[in-house]
Amino acid sequence: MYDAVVPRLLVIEDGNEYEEFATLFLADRFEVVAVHSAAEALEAAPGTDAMLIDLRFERARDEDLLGDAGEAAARLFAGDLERARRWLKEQQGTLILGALREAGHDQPAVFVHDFPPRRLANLARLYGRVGAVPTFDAAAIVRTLESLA
Amino acid sequence: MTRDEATRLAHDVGKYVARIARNAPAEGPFPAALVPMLVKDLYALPGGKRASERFVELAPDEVAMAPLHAALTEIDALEERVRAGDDEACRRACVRALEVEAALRAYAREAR
Amino acid sequence: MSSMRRHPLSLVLAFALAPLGLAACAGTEPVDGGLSGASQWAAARALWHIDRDPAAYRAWIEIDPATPEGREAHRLLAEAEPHYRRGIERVRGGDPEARESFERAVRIAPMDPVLYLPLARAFRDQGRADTDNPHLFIRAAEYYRKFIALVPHDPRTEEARAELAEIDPEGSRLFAPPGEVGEAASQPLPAPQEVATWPLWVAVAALALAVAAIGLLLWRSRERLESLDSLAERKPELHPAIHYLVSSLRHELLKHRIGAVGSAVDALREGRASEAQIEFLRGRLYGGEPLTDAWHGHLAAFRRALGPELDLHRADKHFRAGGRAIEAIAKLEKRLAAGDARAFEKLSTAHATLRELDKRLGQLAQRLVRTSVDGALFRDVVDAVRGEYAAGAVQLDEVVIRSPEPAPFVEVFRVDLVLVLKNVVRNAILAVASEEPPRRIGLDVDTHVELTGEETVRIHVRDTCPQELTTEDIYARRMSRGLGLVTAALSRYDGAIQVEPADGEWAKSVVVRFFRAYDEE
Repeated sequence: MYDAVVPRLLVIEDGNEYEEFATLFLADRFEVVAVHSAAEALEAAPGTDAMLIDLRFERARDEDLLGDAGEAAARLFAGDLERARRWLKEQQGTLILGALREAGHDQPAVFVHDFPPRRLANLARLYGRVGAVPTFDAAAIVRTLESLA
Repeated sequence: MTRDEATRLAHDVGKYVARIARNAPAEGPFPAALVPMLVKDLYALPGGKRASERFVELAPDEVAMAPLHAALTEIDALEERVRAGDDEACRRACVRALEVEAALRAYAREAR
Repeated sequence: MSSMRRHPLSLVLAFALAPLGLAACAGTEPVDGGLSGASQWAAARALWHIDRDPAAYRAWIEIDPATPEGREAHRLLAEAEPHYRRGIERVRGGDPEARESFERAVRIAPMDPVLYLPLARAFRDQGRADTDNPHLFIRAAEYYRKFIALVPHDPRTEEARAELAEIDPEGSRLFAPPGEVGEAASQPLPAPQEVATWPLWVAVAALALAVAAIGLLLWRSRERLESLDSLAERKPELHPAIHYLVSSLRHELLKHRIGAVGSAVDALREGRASEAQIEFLRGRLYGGEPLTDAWHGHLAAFRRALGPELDLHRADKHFRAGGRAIEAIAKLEKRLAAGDARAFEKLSTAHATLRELDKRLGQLAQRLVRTSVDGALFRDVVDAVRGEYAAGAVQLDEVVIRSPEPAPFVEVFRVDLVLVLKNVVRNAILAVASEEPPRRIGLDVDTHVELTGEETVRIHVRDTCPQELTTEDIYARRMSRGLGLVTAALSRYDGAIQVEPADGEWAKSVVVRFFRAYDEE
């Protein structure tokens, strides 16, 4: 599935729970590279083979968030800037994936989130090789990444 | 409960409470290396709160939540033994954590 | 006794009020075949949605189905027809709420006039079953006449005339064909203008019946028995109140006193209950306010808020079962204290019944807050606004309503969504009022995929008023034009409102947007 001797898994999250999990349960399959913002992800993405992405970045600083809170507030939340910022945090993982794809990084990506099927299909249409597993399930994550390879 | 609230509950409590529980080996002694992370999952979720505390903050006032509250109360009662790495306590806590995770996920799906 | 006989005038009222547009039917000309498809479709829609002219059916069906307008017209006719047929079946079955099916159908498209015959027969049969109620025959005669007038060449016209003659020998003579043997044939045929006047007196009669029947309905409604689901289905405006009452019942009684003792009930039945569990169970079930009082207190709250005629114990099987379970638990106190194993079983059964009630109420509460954004919703909104004095006085040349199949859902109480849209539609109508014709408004909906993979539902209210309007204007005007309520509702449901520029056919579009609720799982 991966060209590298030990494939590299880019873990993108706002805390360290994914990294801890990957280090414990995925380290026999991947070298884990953890980052905590879109900027770090764009920098680290070259040379990685797959991505494990957190959806909600509720602990991220406002200035590190991707997305225009003002535009979202006007278009989606009747001008409520605070609600728009919260939404950007809650959905940040998808926006980071969008930025990575725009920069040409098309590695298989997996979210640990129980998306409704229609939404997951939308993400796949937008961003290509995207999958999701509903829980922290190491075997399911590996299976999903392999199916997307 | 709105779709967003149910999703948040499934995420903040269900997803993290079962992080180790779902991946721990099914047989043999509970690995000591997993105990510190199991303790985090059950008693110090992201944000520092116990799973039961976060559950109380987010759970709706519904009958369906009562068994989950009971499961998390039992997990809290096991804390001392889980922290000590007691095999039986860790296994029991994992079983209850998986029940909570599955129920909250089902609940969030229904709320869509 | 059939429900029809219990409520003799309800069907009469239903049809006196149902906007089937009797009076205007005889003299309406078909739509000019020389019009373009779009104009023809606009005129046909106006004939129904603005004028409520039953001859609109012909105008709709004549639009070429090979054109987009024709496809839409034929699709809507096909969508409405099952509702009309269902309404006729409900009349035939004596359903006092048959009106609902017709109201729904009327909002979609006109009725095929051939259906007036089965409708007439349904009323005739009900009239025969309920001889104390002559109004049913009057209504039947009315629909026989409509059938004969609107589809005179149908092969069943002769049968219809004969059946009409049976129930209304006098009136049927007006509808006898030329050359018919018997009394009608021996007299000169009525002059065309005489034929054209019959709708007027029938309309007057219908109005008089409506007024009389309103009084009877008010009297009758005091006796109506209805389940909570049925009430919710029939009255979307009550959804927030029902949601609140259901949530209170679930929280205060079903969760804290019933759900909380679930583990203890299981332990008791399995013979493994601890002292602490038994004490907890005793406190929750038998401490404080008696369970039966608490239950009846909640039912009384439902009646206070939703109407004194709402007898959930009698009319709603789930509440009836819940009430019995509460009574059963209340009677078990002594036997439980005595350790009676059969009492444990009974407690477990009653507990399961209440859990089931809670589950059903949870599902109902969830349904109440989901609204389908479809053509029927738009037509309700337009009809409501057109019923207002100022907006109703505006001469509109066209109201264009488009909706996709399947319609998207949003997580908004229908009554709140209607409130939001009524405000926007009212402003659009009043805006075009001051402009030169053609004065047009349009409502349609589409969905948009966000970068997050979520979808938003965009409801467009379009108009032909060239006056500039910006999003900022909408927020600035909110206090003076009722938009304060709109912005409050938007904020509550994560919604937004924006003005989008012209797209050629329209001068502008006000877009109301909410996140889509997924409905496929």
